[in-house]
Amino acid sequence: MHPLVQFPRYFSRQLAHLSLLFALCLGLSCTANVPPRAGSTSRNTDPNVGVNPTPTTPMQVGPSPGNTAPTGSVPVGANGMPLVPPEPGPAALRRLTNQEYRNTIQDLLKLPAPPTDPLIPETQSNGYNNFAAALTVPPTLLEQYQTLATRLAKDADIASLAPCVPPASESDCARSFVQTFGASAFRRPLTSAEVDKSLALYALGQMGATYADGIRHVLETMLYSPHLLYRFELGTPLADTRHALTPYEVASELSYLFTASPPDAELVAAAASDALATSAQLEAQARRLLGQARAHQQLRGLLTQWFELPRLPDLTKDPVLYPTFTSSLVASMANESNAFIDSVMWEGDARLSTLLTAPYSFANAELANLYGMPDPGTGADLSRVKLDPRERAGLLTQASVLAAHSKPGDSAPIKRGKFVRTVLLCQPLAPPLPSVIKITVPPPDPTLTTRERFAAHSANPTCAGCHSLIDGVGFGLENFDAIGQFRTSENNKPVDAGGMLTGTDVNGAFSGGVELATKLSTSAQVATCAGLQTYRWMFGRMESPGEPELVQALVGQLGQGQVDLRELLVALTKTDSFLVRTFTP
Amino acid sequence: MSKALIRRRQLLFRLGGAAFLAVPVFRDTLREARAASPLRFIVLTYPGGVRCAEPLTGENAVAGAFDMKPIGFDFGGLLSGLAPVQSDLLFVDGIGNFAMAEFNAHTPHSVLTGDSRGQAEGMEMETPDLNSIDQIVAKAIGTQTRFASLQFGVVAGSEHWSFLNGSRLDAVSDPKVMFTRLFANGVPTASTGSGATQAEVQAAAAMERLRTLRQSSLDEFADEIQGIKAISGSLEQQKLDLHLSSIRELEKGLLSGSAGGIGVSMPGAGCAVPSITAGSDVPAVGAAMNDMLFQAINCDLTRVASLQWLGTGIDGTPCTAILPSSWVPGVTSEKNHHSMQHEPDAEFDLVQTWIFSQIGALLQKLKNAPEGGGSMLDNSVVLVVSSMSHGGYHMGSPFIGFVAGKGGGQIRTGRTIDAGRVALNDLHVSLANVMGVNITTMGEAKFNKSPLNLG
Repeated sequence: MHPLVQFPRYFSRQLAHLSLLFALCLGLSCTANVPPRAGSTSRNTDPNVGVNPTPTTPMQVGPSPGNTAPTGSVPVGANGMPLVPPEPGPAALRRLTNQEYRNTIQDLLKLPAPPTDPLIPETQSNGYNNFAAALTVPPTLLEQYQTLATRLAKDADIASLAPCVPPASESDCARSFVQTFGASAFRRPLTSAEVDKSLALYALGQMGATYADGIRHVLETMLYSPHLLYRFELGTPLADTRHALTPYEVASELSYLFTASPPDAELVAAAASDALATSAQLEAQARRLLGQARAHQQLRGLLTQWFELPRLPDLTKDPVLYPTFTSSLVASMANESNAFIDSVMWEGDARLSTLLTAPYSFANAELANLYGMPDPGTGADLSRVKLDPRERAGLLTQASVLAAHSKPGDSAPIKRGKFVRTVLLCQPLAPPLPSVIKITVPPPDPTLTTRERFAAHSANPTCAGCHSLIDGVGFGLENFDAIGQFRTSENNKPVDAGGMLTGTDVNGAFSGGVELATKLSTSAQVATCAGLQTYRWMFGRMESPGEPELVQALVGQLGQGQVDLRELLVALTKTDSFLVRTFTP
Repeated sequence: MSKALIRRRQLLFRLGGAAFLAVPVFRDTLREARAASPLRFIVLTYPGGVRCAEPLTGENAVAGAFDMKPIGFDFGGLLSGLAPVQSDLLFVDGIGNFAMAEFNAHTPHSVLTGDSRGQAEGMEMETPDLNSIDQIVAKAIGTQTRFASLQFGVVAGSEHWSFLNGSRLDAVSDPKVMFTRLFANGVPTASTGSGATQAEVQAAAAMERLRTLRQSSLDEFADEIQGIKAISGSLEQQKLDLHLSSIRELEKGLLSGSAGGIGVSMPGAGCAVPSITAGSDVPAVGAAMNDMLFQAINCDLTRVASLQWLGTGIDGTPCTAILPSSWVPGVTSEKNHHSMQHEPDAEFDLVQTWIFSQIGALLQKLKNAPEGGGSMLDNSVVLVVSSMSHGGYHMGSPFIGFVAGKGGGQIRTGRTIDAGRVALNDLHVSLANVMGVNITTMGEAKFNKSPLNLG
């Protein structure tokens, strides 16, 4: 382990708690009029906080006939032993996200576009919309699935989906449809009992009606069957409580990971011939899927959720201070980040450091206006622009990220500092003090800069313990106002964008967003954090004990800040984390 | 009855949820008034508590909290909109949310669960046996209605107050989604009399066919869920149970025999489909949600409901962005509601007064609905509670809320009682007991002392 990257005890559980730490003091500061309290950095010692007491020994992976026994290419630690998670993630049912569901339906019915029928938003968990534990099927959603399924079954082109031409009998055609369509819908072959049950549904739909009506009923039912709605990651017994995922489960895991879609014909064929078992086979499929258009959407999904950009549409800014902050500008900000991510991921080197420091971005007329650069002349369309290297570089300095981590009328250095500390560095912060500390908003003051307003708690020893970790980071972004415009003065006073990083592997003073981004791009901690965020998104859960170390080792092997995020994904598909689950009876 | 129903349903299908019109009164669906009125359980939540007198003395947050004195929490101030229902309220002093441990950023988890385990150090924790009081009640009485419970929200965000066996039940903040769920889904019974036209007979047959087919799909899903339960580990059982209860709820929509699944006995006041104005602004959504919640109760679609007024402002939820100046008269500062909670001032009071007036409007609707010898409010148990007592201090105590409704005569309102510094859990247990749910503890056992005497 890197000497500067000391994971604290129970690291993963603490990581599991970071994004909401300080959640209620975002952009707020302690007032200076509270008495200092002994033990001001004490942590929440709630005994109910779940921790895993002792990591178990690394699993011994043995061959598993007919199964996807993990093989080779797992990260290797210093002692030459494979680094495998001491306890693989839980066997789970992962309900499809709305996007995954829409893609699935589109593919199944060969629609020109994913259906847009309303579906209630996913329950968010720890910043992500795909956490298995949070995604359930509440009644409202089930009813929406039903409405959608009824509509699509009614509109379906049965002649094309389930052709039946004499001399074939309708019952044979129905059986054939149930088997083929069912295998696509359930992402595995149906059992004979399932075929029989679907044929009974066909018979009911066909009774007093037509062949097509019978097919429609089967179709409608399959479109919101639990076997379609959940991705199964249950596996079959390997050893003890460990289960190896089945080839079909691995096929789904791969396809939804890279394309948010069900397995295509090639993956299905690979699953059927048990050709998703070796590292080489997995790697080949992963690389193939990375080449598909929907992979772009997926990488965007990961990175925008990591940078907390899904909140953009909900942002409100003070209309007096920021009259240019319109829904059109917000959309442009989001589009800029998407275009930038696409560019780095698919035209560039896909490296974390490039994401953080690239000297270019994308702008249209209104973004150019916001950035104080010449209008690229493409109207509302984005075109690639060179950034002023004294002002901006990489994702962190884009208006989207800055505006999303500001308040309506305030650059919110505390909020920004906390974002960098907890989300980009993955460093948990001790919870703020108990409620004897009053947390207040420094009121707007036309004679002070934001930095001056927030200075109070830095001077207060009660607050300084944590805020010294946050404020120095956030103050370094003071050149950007609440909508991400560059500024050198505020309230007729010069802006001081001098910042300080402490408690990291890239400690030291810096000035402005570009220097901050540059420092972060060289940090092994940031690189590990990128790996962890990827890991959470990929598996739809927080990491278990031991897994941060695995991620750290893997990211280290892939070059720390130079890590190619696509390669990281490919490498993760070859780990036990991808192939093995812990089954709790 | 059938003709009107089918036409209205066709209308709704054509509207496709795109527009909301005033829909005619739906008296056709009325059935005989029930003999005895049922009890309803309603939870109304609001964020940020109220202003409190300062300074707080004492180092211990929980012990010291009870010394904080709320400012303006009376009918001449924040509660002015509740003055007309003053005699229907019960105030309980000496109650606190003890499950909100120290500086607990994610407070909503603990308020209705009486349990500190739903979150830790600011992150959400999976807690399979977490149940909020509304769900504890719904488990006991929810089988009697179309919906076991309903969660309404007004700019609620993705915050989690209600838990059913560990599953988070997010509030629905989109009036269209809620409206569709309540009044535009389900399969109406289409009985045809001797005067029915050919088209009406066909429409009725189509409805019967739809009912039969949908039931067969739901039967199949229930079978599939049982099969999946058998091969899944213990960790996934709750998720599958929730799925199964969703299936059962859709079945009720098929069986209950008229639009929206209405068809359980109707109160005398009449069951009307609410008129909903399109719009996303807070007052319009709030009015729509109040109206729909009332009608859901009035039409006996459910007997357990909650309405979450605004997100509390946890990072990333709409409350950190929403500016009350756009909808609360008199507020001019451009502070979001979350910032206001941290530095409560006169403008914060205006916002809280506004929210309480909306709560008052719902209570008034219930009070205006005659039922038995009294009102629907008399047969309700309404808990009004905040995420915390004071936003600036992040305190769970004291409880800044109240109980409304007489619980069918079991609750003596129009007064204040002193519980003697006990946990919210005791109040939850007491209210559940009024609802006929015989529990002696809820949430974490360590927070339970003994039920309160509310009579």
